[in-house]
Amino acid sequence: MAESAASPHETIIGLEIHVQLKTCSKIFCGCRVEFGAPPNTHVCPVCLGLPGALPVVNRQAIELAVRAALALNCQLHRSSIFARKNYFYPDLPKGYQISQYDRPLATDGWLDFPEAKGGGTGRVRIRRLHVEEDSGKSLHDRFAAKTAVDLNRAGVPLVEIVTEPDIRSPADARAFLGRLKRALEYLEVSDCNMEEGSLRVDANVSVRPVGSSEFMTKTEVKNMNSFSQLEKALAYEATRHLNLLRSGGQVEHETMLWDPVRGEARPMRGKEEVHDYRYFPEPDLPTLEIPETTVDRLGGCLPEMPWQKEQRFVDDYGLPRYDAELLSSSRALADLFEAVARSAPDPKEASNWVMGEVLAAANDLGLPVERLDVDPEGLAEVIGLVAEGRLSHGLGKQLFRRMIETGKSAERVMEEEDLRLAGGAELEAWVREAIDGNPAEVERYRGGEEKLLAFFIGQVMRKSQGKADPAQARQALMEYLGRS
Amino acid sequence: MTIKRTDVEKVAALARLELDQAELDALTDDCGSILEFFEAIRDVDVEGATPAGALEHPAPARDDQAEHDRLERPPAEMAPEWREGYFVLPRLPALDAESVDDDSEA
Amino acid sequence: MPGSTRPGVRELQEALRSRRLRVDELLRSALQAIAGSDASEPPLGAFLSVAGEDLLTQAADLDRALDDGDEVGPLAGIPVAVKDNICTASLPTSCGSRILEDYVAPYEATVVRRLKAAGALIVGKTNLDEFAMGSSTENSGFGPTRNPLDPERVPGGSSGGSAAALAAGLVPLALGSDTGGSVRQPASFCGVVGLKPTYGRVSRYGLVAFASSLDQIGPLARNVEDVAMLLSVIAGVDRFDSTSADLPVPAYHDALGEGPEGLVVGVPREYFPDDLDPGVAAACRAALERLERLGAEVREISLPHTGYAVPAYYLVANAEASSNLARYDGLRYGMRAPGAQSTIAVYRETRGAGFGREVKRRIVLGTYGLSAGYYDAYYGTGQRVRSLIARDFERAFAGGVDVIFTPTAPTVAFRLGERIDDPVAMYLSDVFTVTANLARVPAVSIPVGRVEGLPVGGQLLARQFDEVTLLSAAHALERAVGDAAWSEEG
Repeated sequence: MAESAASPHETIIGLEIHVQLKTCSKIFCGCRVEFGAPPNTHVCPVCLGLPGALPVVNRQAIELAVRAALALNCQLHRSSIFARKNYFYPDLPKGYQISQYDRPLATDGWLDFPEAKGGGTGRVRIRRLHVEEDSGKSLHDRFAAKTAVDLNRAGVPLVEIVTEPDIRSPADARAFLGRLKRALEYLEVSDCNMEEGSLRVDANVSVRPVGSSEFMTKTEVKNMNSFSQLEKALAYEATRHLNLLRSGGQVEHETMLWDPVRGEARPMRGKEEVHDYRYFPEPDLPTLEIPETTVDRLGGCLPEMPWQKEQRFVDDYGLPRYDAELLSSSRALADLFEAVARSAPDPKEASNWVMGEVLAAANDLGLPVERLDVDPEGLAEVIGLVAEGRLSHGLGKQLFRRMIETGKSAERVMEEEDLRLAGGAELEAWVREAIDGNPAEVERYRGGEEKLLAFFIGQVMRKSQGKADPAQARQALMEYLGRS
Repeated sequence: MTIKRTDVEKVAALARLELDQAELDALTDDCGSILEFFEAIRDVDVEGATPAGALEHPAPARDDQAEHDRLERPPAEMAPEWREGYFVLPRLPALDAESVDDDSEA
Repeated sequence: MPGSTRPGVRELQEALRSRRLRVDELLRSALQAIAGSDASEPPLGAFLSVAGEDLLTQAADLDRALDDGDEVGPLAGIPVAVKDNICTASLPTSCGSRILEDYVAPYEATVVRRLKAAGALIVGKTNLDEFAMGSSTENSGFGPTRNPLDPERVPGGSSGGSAAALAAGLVPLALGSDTGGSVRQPASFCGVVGLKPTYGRVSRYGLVAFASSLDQIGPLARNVEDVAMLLSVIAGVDRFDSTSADLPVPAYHDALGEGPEGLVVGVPREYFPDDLDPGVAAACRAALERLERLGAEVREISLPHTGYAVPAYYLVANAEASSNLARYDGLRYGMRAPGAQSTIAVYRETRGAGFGREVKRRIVLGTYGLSAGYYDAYYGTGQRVRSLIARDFERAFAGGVDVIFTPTAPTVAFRLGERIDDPVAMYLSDVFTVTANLARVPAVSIPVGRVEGLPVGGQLLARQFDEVTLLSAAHALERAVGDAAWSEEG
C-alpha cells in the first residue's frame, strides 16, 4: 500500500448530472415553470402534496428526456416505470420524490468529448438516464432560526444522467460537462444554466495508482455552481485523497460540500442517519410506455450535434477548425452560414462574412442572430459582388448593413444610395491626389520600392470613401507612377 | 422473522415518529405478532410469479400547458406557519442536517 | 321494518319531480335526522361534519328549477353523505385523524365535482377509521360510530359512518372508500348494499390515499338500483387520475332487471371454511339455494391462494401507506406539534401526536417492509402473491363462471372493544374482501339474511370492468332473497 501510494496516481471521476427540462409546465401538474417568480405562486394540490392529489405525466417532458437519451446514444427502454424515493426534507412536499429506479427510461449510452490535454477524443459511458421531479427550495438564511420553503420549483421536470467513472482528470470532467451542456442546449432539451440551477452536477471522486483496476473509496462532492468551480473542487478533492493515501491515512466514504468562497470541500454534517430511500414502484402512475412512432419521430428529427457539424464544416467546406467551431456554436449561426455558403462563390468567404459582419451587426443591434433579418442569398450576392471586384470590401459592408436595416435587396440599396465603384474621371482625380500628396513615397516607389503600390491604393480608397474600384485604381496608379 | 425493539426504534426514526417508551413496547409486541401472522405467506411458492406492479395500461399524458392553479384558497390559509410568502418551520442547525442551498438531494 | 320500507332514490326523484316533495323539505329532514342521531344516547357518531346554510341555498335553487320544469341533474336534490377521506372544498376533510383536524381542502375530489354537477346535495362527511385503516370505525380520532341496529356493536369499517348513516335512514346515498373491504364489510354489518368498483373505474383524485394500488371509491345505498345510479354518476375516466380507465360508462341502473336464469355462480370452497360462523354460512347457503331455484347454475370452484390474501394485502397496503402518510409533517397544512424547536422535532412530534396507534403500527410495518434488506421478503413477496391471487380469479372466470359468490365477512357485527386490542383478529375481518382489491375486480355486498337480528352480507365478484354483470347479478340476488334479508335463516 505504502509503495503504491508513492507511485503515480490517477483520478477517477464519475458525474451525476441533473438537468431541468425546458417545458412550460411542471412534470406532474399544470403549474407554470418560471425561474424567479414570487415564492409559492406556482403551486397547486399536486405539487403541494395535498392529501388526495395525483400525478399526471407531462408528455413534453418525456419527449425531451427521450431526445436527450437518443442524443447520448442510450438504449431507450420503451417501457419504464416510475418509483418513489422516500425521504423527509422540508422542500419535498409528499415525503417522497417521484423518480425512476430499477427500470429507468434509458441506460448504456456514451458521449465523446474533446480531451482537455493532447487534443484526443475521450468517451464517457452513460450508465443511466431517468426522469424525475425536482424538489422545492429550502432557504436556511431567509429568517433567523427558521427554514423557509418555496415550492415553485417542486415538480419541475428533470433528467438525471449518471456517468460511469470514466473521467480521469478534473479538466476532463469540465470538458465532458461542456460537451454535454452543448448537446442539451443544442437539442433544446434544457437551458443548462448553472447559475439558475437548470444544470446541477455532483461528482464521485477517488484516486488510485496508475495501472490498478481496483476502485478506491470515493467521496461525493456537491455544490459546484459553475464549470470552473467543478474543476477546482475536483482538483481539491483529488489532492486531498492523494495526500491522505500518501500519509498512510484512509479516505472516508462521505459527502463533501464544496465551499467556493474558501475554496475547500468540507464533509456534510448531519449525515449520521444512513439513507434508506425505500424505493418502490409508484402506484399512482401506470407503466411509462414510449410508442415506437414517438421514438421514430424524435430519433428522426434529432439535429446534427454541434461537434458533428463542426467536423462537417471542416471536411465539406474546407473551413479552418476555428471557423467551424465558432459557426457551429449555435444552430442559428450554423444554419445561416450554410445558407450563405450555398450561393456564395467561396465557403471561406461566406464564413468570414458570417463570423465578421453578421456577428458585428448582431452585436451592434443588440439582437441574437436568429432575430437578425439576414437574407442569406442577399448576403451571398454581396460577397459575390466583392469577389468579382464590383464592390470594394468597405462598400460591401456598407451595403450589407443597409440591407439588414432596411430589408431591401442589394440592387435596390445600391441604386438608392449610389453604392457603386467609381472609375473614369472620378478615379483619375483620386489617383492624382494620391500621387501629388505623397511625393516622398513616389520617389521611393520609383526607386524600386514597388510594394508601396499598396499604400497608394489605400490612399485612393480612403479618398474615395471606398467607392473607387480597386482593380481600376491599381491599373491607373501603375500607369501614373510608371511615368517618370 | 421477528421484529426487535431496536428495529422498531430504527424504523420509527426513519418514519419520523416520536414514540414514548410505553408505545415502543406496545408497538414491538403488536408488530411482532402481526409479522408472525404474516409468516404464513412463506408457504406460497412464488417462484416465477411476477410481482403485481404498475398498471399495464399506458399512462395517459397531459399536454405541456400551464393551466391555472386549481387552489380555491391560497396556501397561506392552511399553513401552520407562513411568512412573506414562504412556508416556515423552526430550524436548529445543531439538530437539522446541513444542506446545500439548492438542495441537490433531488 | 328498517331499510326495505324506506324510499329509494327513484321514489324520491319521482316525488321531487312531481313536486309532492320539495328539495328543501328533503334536505331539512335529512339534516334534522343527522342532528337527532347524535343527540341520542349513545350518539350514533356517523358524521364528523354537516353542511350548513349554503346547502339550503342550493336546495332553493333546485326547487326553483324543478318548479319551472327545467332540466336537472340525475341526482338533483338527493342528499348524499361522503366519507371524510374524500376532499370537499366547503367541508373539512379530517380522515378521522387528529393530524388533519380542521383541515379544509382547497380543492374538490373528482367524485364530489361529479356529484354536485349531478345535482346531489353533499349533506356531510362521515366517520371512518383513521385514514381508512381499520374494520370497525373504532380507530377514528374523533370517537367511534355505532351500529344503528345495535349500538353496542360496531358498524364495520372503515366506511362505518357511511354505512351507519344509511342503515339509520339519515341519507339515501353515501360514498365510501374500499382498500380491503372498507365499503363492503360495513355494508354487510349494517344491512345495506356497498360496491367496490373495479380499480380504475372511479377516479381517485381527491381520495386521500391509504394504499394507492388498492384504494377505490365506492357507492353505498339501501338497494342495488340506488348503488347503480350512484355509480353511473361517479364512474369514468378522469384526466387528473392516471390510473382511471378510459372506458365507456354504461347507465348501470338501466342494465338491471335480468333474472338469474342461466347465470353461472361460482362458489369458492376456500370462502366457506369450517370455522365460518354457522349463521353466516347458513344465510349464504340459503341465498344460493334461492338463486338456484330461480334458474342460476351454482358451481363449486377453487381460488387456491385465498389463505394468503390477508398477509399479502397487509404487506402491500402497509408499505404504500407508510409512503402515502409521509406528507403529514406539520409544514404545509394540518396540525403542527406546538413547541417544537427544530425541523426534526416538528416532524417527529407532529407525527407522534397526530397519528393514532393503528396508523403508527402500519407506518412502522410498512416502513420496515420496504427498508433495505427486507423489501423482497415483505413488499416483494406481497406483490408476487398478489399476482397469484389475481391469476386465481382470471382462471375462475375463464372457466365459465359469470360471478363469484362468497360471504362478505366471516361474522356479523362484533361488539365495540371486542377486537380493538387484537390487531390480527381485526385484520381477519377482511379475509373475504381483500382479494377483490388485490385482483382489482369489482365486488358488491348485499344483505342476504340475519343472525340474531344482525345482518349478514353476501358478496358477489365479477370480471374487471364488468360492473354490469355484477350489478345485474346483485339485483337478481336481491330479489331472490327478498324479505329473507330481514329474517333469520335455519
